[in-house]
Amino acid sequence: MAEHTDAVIEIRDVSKLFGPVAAVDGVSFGIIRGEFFSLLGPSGCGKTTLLRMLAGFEQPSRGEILIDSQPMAGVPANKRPTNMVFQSYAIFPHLNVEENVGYGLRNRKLGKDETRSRVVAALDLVKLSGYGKRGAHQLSGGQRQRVALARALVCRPKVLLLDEPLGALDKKLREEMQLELRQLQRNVGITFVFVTHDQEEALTLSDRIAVMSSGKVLQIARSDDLYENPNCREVAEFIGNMNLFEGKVAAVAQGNVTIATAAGTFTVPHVAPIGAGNAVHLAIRPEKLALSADKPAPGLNAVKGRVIAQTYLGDRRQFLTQIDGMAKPLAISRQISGAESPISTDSDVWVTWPPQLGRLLTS
Amino acid sequence: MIQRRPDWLAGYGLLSPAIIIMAVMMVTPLLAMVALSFWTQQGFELDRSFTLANYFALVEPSSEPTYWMGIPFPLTYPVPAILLIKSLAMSLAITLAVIALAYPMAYFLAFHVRGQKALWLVLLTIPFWTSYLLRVFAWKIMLGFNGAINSGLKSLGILTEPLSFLLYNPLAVMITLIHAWVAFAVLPIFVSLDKIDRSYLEAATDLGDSRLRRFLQVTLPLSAPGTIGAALLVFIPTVGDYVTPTLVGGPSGTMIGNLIQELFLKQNNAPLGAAVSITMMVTIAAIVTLFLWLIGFRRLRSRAR
Repeated sequence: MAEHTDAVIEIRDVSKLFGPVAAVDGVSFGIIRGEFFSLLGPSGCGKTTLLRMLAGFEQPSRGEILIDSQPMAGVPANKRPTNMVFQSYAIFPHLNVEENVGYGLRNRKLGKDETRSRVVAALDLVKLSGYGKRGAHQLSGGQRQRVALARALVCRPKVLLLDEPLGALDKKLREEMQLELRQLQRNVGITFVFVTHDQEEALTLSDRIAVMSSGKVLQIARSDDLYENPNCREVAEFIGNMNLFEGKVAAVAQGNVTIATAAGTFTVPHVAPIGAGNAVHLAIRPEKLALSADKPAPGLNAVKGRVIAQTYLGDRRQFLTQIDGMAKPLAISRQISGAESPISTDSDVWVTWPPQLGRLLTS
Repeated sequence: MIQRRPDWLAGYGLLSPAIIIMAVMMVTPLLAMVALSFWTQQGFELDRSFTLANYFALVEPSSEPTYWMGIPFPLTYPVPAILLIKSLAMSLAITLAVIALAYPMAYFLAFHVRGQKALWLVLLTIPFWTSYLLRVFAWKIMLGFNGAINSGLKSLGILTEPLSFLLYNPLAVMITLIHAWVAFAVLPIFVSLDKIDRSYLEAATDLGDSRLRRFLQVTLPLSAPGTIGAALLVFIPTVGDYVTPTLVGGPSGTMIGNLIQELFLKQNNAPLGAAVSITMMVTIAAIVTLFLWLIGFRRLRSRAR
């Protein structure tokens, strides 16, 4: 219950239907005051629709949304305590930077000096002091993004909604802006709800992430938890790279499960009760796998394969290893330290991992 | 090395058909008109010696002013000045009415029609499938003494005697011209409204704007280029129109175009007609320039990008 009293947004069984299609399908969760919360998912998963319902541009077909304990049904977008940073930034082309940033303040009964000082402070916050008189068309992509941020933050919303705001920037600038955005969020302490399809971006920025697919929320967790302990195949495959062994539960003992797969029998930790014979997946991250030419020591999970390709990635090397009985080759990622022995393509190798690093996925 | 022709040459190359047509069909007659306005008509002959007499005739002062609508015109030959002022005033009213009618239509098309915009645009052009003259005559039938409006109201028992003020006056001219030009004005306004990124409107709402405020602060300024274009498109040609006043204007509905036509064709004084034409053109150009300067057109254009 502690989490509920501190929730700035509560989403209760919200669905949004467009004709017969449910863009958002029975979603319930809370967003904690002051956190950086991301909605992550492939395009068409309903994350933007959910964000637009928070902003008030769409109305839920079912369920309700509470912001600061106030039901939002019937509250129009212009009366909500939220502000939005649009994917296209939507910087008004007929106004200069200052007028853009001050736009939301004109709708409030503020004194001229108050408005002026808040605009200056907001421009300062996004490192655009001195740009006030620039026209909208004189700004670069990154600057437009900052203006959009300043324009929303100057209104001091309870929740800032960001709709893929970094999508239009190039990689380098995007990484810079990610850092800045995170810093900014800590400084202002406003709750950010951030929509993205970029899992790396979500992992970098967020306190918590909700992974969405086909209108449903699959898992809500902290970044590291999401990466280490995905609760289903879809999340496991969407966040980072994941190797999957399909198999059946062969034996259950002492918090460990032995599963039989086409590539061999492996052990994986699992505490929840599960019956023998259940169809499951064993998931293991590429960087948790080790390669060696020699037969491994007992106690490790091990499988024999043949290296079919390797890619040099600067700081690490990625190997693809074909395993007998498996359709997809295993991906193995190895840090390059300079000390490891080289492995040539087409050579036979052992792929090993300690049992506790694998994860059992039941769905 | 590949010798490349400079870009400007290629540009003029592409423009040359248009430039040639403009030169032959527009600039040459215009220059002829300017020349004509400095000559004098002597019976059936033209006296080709340079004179400013035609222009002087338009502004020659008189001690006894002629009054029109309460405005004194202290001129010996006040007709052109009065008709010019009257035409400008009528055109201004027509332009305002056209924009007031066209803007909502364009707004509807741009924001509330989904998927079938092309169909609506075609529907808008249907009036143009008939000749302009037919449309003017149609208004004559509508507004006439025994026309549709009068007989309709009479058969409904609202009137016993037909209204005589419907036809053959400036109002009839204005109604006809407004109807003729509305569809032309819808298109440029529609284009500039349709071009507005919907996220601007959402951003305005998100920042607290009511619908009205959003319209005044965002939609209207962003559609200004098209709206101004539409206004000029209507204002400039209607000042000099003479067909409509001839057909539905009657004596009181005369405009400057009628005077020019008369000077050229009936009064056999082409040089004076040319001088009136040139004066009208310069006046319109001056008004348009002043208008554009006042609203800061350069600024608008640069921001619309």
